[in-house]
Amino acid sequence: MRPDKVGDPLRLLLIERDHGSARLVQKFLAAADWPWKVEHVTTMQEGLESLSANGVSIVLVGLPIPEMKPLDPVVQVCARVPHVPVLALVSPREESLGLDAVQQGAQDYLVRGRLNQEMFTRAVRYAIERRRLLGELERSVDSLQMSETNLKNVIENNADGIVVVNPDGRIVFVNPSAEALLGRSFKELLDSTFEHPLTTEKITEIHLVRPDGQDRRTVEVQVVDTIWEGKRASLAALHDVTERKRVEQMKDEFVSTVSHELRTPLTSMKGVVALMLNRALGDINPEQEDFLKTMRQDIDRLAELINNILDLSKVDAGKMMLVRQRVHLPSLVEQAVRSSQAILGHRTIERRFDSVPDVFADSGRVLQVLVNLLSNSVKFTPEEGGMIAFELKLHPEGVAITIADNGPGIAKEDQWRLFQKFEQVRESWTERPKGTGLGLAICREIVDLHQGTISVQSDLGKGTAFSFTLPVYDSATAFSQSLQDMKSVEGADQQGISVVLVSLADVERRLGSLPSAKLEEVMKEGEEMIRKRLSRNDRVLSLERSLIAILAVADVPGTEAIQQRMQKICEEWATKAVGKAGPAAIVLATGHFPQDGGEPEVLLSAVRARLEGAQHG
Amino acid sequence: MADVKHRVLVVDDEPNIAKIVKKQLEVSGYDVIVAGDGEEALTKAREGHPEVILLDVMLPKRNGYEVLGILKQDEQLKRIPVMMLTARAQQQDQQTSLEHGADAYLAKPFQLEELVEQVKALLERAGSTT
Repeated sequence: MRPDKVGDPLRLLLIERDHGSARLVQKFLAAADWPWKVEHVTTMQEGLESLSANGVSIVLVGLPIPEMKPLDPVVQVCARVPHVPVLALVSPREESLGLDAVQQGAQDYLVRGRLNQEMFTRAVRYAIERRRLLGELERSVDSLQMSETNLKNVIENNADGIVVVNPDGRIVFVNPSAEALLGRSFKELLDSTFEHPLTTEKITEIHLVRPDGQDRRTVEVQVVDTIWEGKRASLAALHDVTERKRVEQMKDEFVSTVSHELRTPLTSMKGVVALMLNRALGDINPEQEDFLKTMRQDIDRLAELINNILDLSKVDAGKMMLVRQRVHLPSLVEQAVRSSQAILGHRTIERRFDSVPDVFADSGRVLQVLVNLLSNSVKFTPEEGGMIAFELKLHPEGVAITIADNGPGIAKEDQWRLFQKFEQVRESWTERPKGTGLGLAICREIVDLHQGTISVQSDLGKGTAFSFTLPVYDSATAFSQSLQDMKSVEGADQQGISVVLVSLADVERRLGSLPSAKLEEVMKEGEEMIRKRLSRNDRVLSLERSLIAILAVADVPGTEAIQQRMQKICEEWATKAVGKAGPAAIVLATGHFPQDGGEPEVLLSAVRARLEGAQHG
Repeated sequence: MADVKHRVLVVDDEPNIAKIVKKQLEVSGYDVIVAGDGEEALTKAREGHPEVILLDVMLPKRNGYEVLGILKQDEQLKRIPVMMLTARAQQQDQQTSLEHGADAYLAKPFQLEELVEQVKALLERAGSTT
């Protein structure tokens, strides 16, 4: 059964001198199952003209053509219509010419005198099909090349440096931006060691100095795992932040200058008011005293505003550093209440303290949160009948501290705004805002830095309760966390961190006859005294009862100096504390990070072992 | 204390602050001398025979740490207790103060009452060791 000849006819150009072969071709195509239109020419010139005139599906070239090199006709046709299939027609004695023609770009060849219908139509069909497939292949190769070029352009022209490092730490690829940042060429860098940390956990900051010592750049490195030539590798993106850091530093300096310039006159104003209130400038009458106190309050408000703005700019710059230690919350709450006494008026303060463990926190910062929340409650609670309650409760995340008041409450739709900077919740728009709108934002930042959470619970007409959580103190975590925190203190990377363990066990033993509450108080005094004699950045951690760890940024000789100073201070204190039961021995041991161990556990146990040795030796 | 007044040297380049501190200390029973820069501080420390020195960090001519360093290396002067007056924002200052041999520090802005307390404590400590 032969299908109907439908569709557009395919066009075949036949360049052939031999009329016999030409007739045969025409006959075969007429019998084919697809309509064909055949154009027969006998010279190369006619053939090329015909090619430029119309769209041809396939060209059949009879070889050789007189006065032309044997393969030239094929070469010329292929050059003129590169996407059209070409078949060569050769004489039986010159079959090798057919093979040569295929090498020059013909799809196939046919031999005169051996042509038959089936072979001919199949050869033509295959030639067209092969050419189509070849075209597709060429197009996909083109598009692959195009996308590779595109990708290459993206990588080469990327403003960020890109470095690929194999698992041996050797560089296998760098883009031009990376060459510029590292100050060395691709060739020089290839197979050299990448000298910077390759952590995928966080963005690290490195400083790059060109080999010629010129041009110091600050660069942020972000590393991701990748595959390079089928193997695992690290891809590091280097982002130049030199300019941004310079602006940040200028801003920091500006803030610090401004804060000094603002504080100096405030200090002086506050001082004059204090002198007058202290009667240092003569007697004052009750009304003068009242107005001076008003003035003092507003000076304090202004000072608080400046501190809040500075604190927030510190948080924004990631520069607020916590000095965490063991904190006894009930005393801290008392301290907050005491320091807010002036604003409390007749409001009642209630304490609902469960027995809670100590927390690991920066006491100064937590005090700031407590004072802030308390002053917030005071602002929104009437002086007569106002009640503010502090609660301490155990919580799955540690200890929860709640400050509840019986004020007007905050509408649900306003609550989300509370912890946003500069937001104010007012009872009505005609009312003047009370405060700067920064206090709660700072509270949230401080609690966040402690890995705690802060929340508000409020019902209109019933009151408001702010709660936040702090982690429970645990000596092992506190030690390793503090060591970690200390690493970012200025100078820690060059000098290292010294660890001093102070055992007050002998003091405790000699005071053994004291009631335990009294004894605990004395031991806490000892710890407090050590803390007072160190600077704010140093950490004082109680590891166990009567065992205190001190962490300070210092090199090895510095560690010795701290030990001697501590020995002297503790002995002075012990003499006073023990009295007649003395003298009590204070035993100290020191270690140094990273000399004596890079891991907190290793370091601590090394120093503990020394302490044991010193106690028994 | 009523019979012999202890002498305090107050070093601050802010004349207003120096004036206020001086007044408060005088009212609290001290004899006060004042210096406005690092050089003057050293001269007054040598010639004025103070028993306590309150030293600001930011000073013209020589900063507070330089003055502190010179005082603590001087055989005659190193026994005089020095309290540094540091800016609250610069926590590093407190560490640096102690490393340079300061006997105490007080962060600005301070309460006058606290300053008087600290001066008293420094004098007591100095008195007990001598």
